[in-house]
Amino acid sequence: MAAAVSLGQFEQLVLTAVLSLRDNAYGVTIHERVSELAAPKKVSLGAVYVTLDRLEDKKLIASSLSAPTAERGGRAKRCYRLEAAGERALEESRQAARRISAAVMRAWGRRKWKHAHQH
Amino acid sequence: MGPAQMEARPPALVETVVGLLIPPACREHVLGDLNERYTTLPVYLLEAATVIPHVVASRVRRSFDGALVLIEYIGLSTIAQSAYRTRALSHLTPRPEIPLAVVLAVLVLCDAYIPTDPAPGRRGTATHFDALFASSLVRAIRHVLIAIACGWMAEWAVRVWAPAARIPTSGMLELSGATLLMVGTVRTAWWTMFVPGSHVMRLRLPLAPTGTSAEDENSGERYSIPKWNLGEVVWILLVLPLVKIGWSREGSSVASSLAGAFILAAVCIVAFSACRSLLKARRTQDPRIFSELYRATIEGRLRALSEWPLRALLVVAAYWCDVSFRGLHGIADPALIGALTAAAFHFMGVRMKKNFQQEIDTLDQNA
Repeated sequence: MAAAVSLGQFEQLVLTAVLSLRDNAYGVTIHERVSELAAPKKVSLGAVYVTLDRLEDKKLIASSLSAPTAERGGRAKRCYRLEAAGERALEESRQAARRISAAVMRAWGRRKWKHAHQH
Repeated sequence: MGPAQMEARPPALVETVVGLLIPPACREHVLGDLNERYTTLPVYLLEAATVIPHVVASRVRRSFDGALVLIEYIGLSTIAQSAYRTRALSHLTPRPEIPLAVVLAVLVLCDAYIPTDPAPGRRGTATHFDALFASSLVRAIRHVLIAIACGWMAEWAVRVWAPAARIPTSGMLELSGATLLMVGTVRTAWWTMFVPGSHVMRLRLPLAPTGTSAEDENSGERYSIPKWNLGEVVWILLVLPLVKIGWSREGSSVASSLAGAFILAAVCIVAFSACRSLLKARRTQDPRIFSELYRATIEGRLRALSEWPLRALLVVAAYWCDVSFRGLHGIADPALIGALTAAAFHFMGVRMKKNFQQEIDTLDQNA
């Protein structure tokens, strides 16, 4: 199996949004979901486009144009879906986040334990 | 949000202007997203103003071709240095870098605005290589003219702020003409030969000759690819002599004049052939024709890569003979030129192999 591509934090957020939105993942919805995930940080729509392009170049996601809709002024949506490499990268990120979380909890727990003994 | 607001849309004129600023490759969905999020005009404009720089930067990153920019930079610098030698303007040596930098920056920006989606319909493949060449030529000239216009604007700005450092108008005209010829040729040849993706796929035309043919099942018409590749001929006839003239001291010698006349004749022949082919080109709606011929073309190209070391050898030998004949050993070391040419051919071969293999993979996936 090929090694998973390492992801930046914002890339992880965008990939998570694409994963969770499934068939409804396009610019506007992805931006909304990423904004929810990144709150209270503000996220610009342009930054989401740039990251989507980068993820597509890395072949972690794929895109296709949907049929035009009236609510968008007769414009098509570019819908994104997660590729197998993207799933692997996201899984790798999830495991890394778990390891970080466990390490932090252990460190904090020991410090709190020492703190309690000193007092 | 009420029904009235739900139906709110940006004014058509504003949307058109915003659309023109967004690169065509992402115009459709970005405009749609902005339209969907529309509430009021100021918010729309503010959002467009923040989104457009991002999408343009992203397109520039994706379309940026370092090798092409490097070739153009070397070519433009050579032209400028040559112009300075003949006009005794060496005291202004660093000055042309400003318009040249503007020209290169605008060319890079123009690349970001090249559409990547396939054009509707498929042009017939009867004499398509010439048609492709002509289309690439038209686009290249358009880009270079825009870039030159921006270079002139930059120069005028310099004249206002620092009149003493101005480049003479005749010098600017000479540089502009040489830029149009050199960069236009490089871009045309580059797109025709090395970038099968965005430029060629858009036209739905095969890249290069193989002599392969295919029949349209609906109309019964037979489409084929001509045998000779004019792009390569033009590359060798136009670019190499220009670079050579730029490097040599005797820019206005008899040999250079002959080379110039030869180049002009080649341009006329190719332009005539290209125009005639465009008029003759037929359309087919059968995607199999395109795929079949296109694939055969690329495979032929891949096979031809093994001949490239021989071509490099011939170019180096021709250059060495020319330098020896004109006694210019002190100006351009044939060994250095040979090494550079061999490296350039090697690089181009590797690049073509990678690009064409990607194209074959894409065709396989589509099939």
